[in-house]
Amino acid sequence: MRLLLLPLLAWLLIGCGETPPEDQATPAPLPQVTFSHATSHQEAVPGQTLQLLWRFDMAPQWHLYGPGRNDSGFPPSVRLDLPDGWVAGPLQWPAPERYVMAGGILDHVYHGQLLLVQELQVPVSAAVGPQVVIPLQVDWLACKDACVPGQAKTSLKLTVAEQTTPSAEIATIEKALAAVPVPAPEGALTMTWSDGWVELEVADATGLAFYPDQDCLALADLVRDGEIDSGRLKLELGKAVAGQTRLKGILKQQLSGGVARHWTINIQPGG
Amino acid sequence: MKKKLITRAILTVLAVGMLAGSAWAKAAPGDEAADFTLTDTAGQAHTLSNYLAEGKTVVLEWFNPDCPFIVKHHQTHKTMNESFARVKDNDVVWLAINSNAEGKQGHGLERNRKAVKDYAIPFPVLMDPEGKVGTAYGAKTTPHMFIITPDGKVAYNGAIDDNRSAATLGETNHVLAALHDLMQGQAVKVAETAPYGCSVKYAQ
Repeated sequence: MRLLLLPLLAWLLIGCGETPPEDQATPAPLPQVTFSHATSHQEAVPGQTLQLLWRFDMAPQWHLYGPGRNDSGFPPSVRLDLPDGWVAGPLQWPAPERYVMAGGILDHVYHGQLLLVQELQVPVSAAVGPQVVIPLQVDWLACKDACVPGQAKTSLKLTVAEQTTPSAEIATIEKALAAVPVPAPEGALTMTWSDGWVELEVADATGLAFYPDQDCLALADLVRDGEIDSGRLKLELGKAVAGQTRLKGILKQQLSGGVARHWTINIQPGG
Repeated sequence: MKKKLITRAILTVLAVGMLAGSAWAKAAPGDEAADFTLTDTAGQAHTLSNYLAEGKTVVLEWFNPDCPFIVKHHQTHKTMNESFARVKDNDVVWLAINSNAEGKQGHGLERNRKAVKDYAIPFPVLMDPEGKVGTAYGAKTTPHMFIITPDGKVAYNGAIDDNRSAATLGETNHVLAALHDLMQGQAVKVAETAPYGCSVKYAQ
């Protein structure tokens, strides 16, 4: 028995990390998702920022995953190979939809079209004139009845100039930014903490739903508690998990007239 | 001891029957593991409590041959086969379970027989088309891993490793780490992680 432990231990110590060979062929973009990208401006100006738009058009009934806590799947990722001095900000995500499947499986997903925006800071030292080519790789998992991973390898080509003009996609980018949830306004949300529970109340909401971030504190049963046709949502807290100490996520509010509003929440228990 | 095991098995079989198709259960570390009998792709029946009565530690792997995460661990990287090879002589039984419902991805005896052959799977793949066992354990993804110790308790519930992508392996194989702890007579250090993969395709 002890002898048999040695190879196991050695394998554990060496680690099982292994990446696919670099020369592996890039799979062709899959029809479940069509990926495209654009920029807010036609040129990059030294010392200024521009917005990058990542667009995922999904075939009917297929979905992509949100960046929060999900039981399955993984969210799209964008990897930029930036030149020295160029800095990209975090991806700006819209609010996903709650998606409950048989077996109590809960995900937060997007259908139709997903627009992500990312800020790109152009360094002051960027030389005016030459075109800058930024390689990028995008990965996603699209699911319907089945799940299919997808990948796009392409590049962003930007001319560095002293002046710039907005691109034809500027309105789409502004629309995408307007869909990003904002922090709950001061005093608009009432939270009541009791032993093992937290209740969220929004006076003008007719329905509420909570979508936790990955590092949100543990919640006992979001399939049961996570959505209600009322302005008061009561969540049972789960067993404490190291590193997850705050109620973090998106609060969707259904308002009269079929309008929805989304706030971000990031609050310490009792706060 | 055997009588105690059989008694517990009867109780937990009843529990599976009560849970199936309605309530949602989660086999948390320390919980009693629900007993089950399922048939593999070769037609052989497997009963959890029989393995436990023989002193075996049982690894359960939720399986869907067409899920990209299963392809990652069974074809691209052979994680499951290699992990099993490292522990099979230590009184460890490894059972894959397919709880996908009829008509869903990866369902069906023929498809799974082919997968056993194509992936050269050296352990049984059990068919659970009604999802009763998957529901009893709260299996959410393929793969979703559980370890049951001979005393009938859940010792681990979670992911196979710590990389949620459909291509790249993690740095730590949680199942082997947990088995290593158990073989050394220690408590499992990481007994629960978030599983990842495709959702199990239960019947609606």
